[in-house]
Amino acid sequence: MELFEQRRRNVLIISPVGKMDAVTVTEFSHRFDAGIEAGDTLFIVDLSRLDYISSAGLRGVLTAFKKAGAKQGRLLLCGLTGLVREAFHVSGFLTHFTTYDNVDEALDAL
Amino acid sequence: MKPLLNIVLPASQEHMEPLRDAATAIARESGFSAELIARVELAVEEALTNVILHAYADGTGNVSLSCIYDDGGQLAFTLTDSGVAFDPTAAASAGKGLSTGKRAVGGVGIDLLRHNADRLSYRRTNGKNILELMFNPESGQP
Repeated sequence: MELFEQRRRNVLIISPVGKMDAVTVTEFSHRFDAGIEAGDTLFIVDLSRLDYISSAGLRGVLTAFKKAGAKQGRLLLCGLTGLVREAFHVSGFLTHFTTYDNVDEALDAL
Repeated sequence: MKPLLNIVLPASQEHMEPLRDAATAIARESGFSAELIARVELAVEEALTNVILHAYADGTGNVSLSCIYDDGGQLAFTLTDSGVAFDPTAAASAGKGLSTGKRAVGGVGIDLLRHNADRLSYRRTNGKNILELMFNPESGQP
């Protein structure tokens, strides 16, 4: 997995690319936690270039979502496709996240 | 029938990836579609993770992974451990409909395992959990 990030307005946009599994999810969690520690509260996680997520990855995203909420912040998901969307759906997570087609749509919603 | 794969390793986190990747390599060599390879990868990761996290109360024990083509031409992976009895085909799912805070998060892996394998079968024999994951090369959608 590779992690790309950009900042637009006051939003930290994190884009994991490749595979978020039991091994690589820690990279995502560390990056997110560093954002929280630096005072970030608004996050978009762009999954459009992620092609694999296991339950460990799903848990990592859910944990980040809860941490953002605990800081009165928000974390939005966008760009879910294929097996990644399916994993969110099968796990039941999709019903609890509002998801957006792309980063621009998510930014408009914040 | 000679197994395509037969590996025994301690059931620890560091061995999830090499075991999973060995399974994925076989699916790739078998000419599976990219989507089906990813389904094999996901189902095997979830099955392994379950053994690694929950099978052995004292944290030590082995997991074995083997693979054959069965009579019907399906790829059949067998995961064996000697830990506490656990049947993933019967376990409760994560419980859709509960709020994210209340869901049995551990059940998510079981949901993904069941969804991505074409067929799962479990038996408990001589103190061992034996889980078979079958994949049909013709299958587009499980």
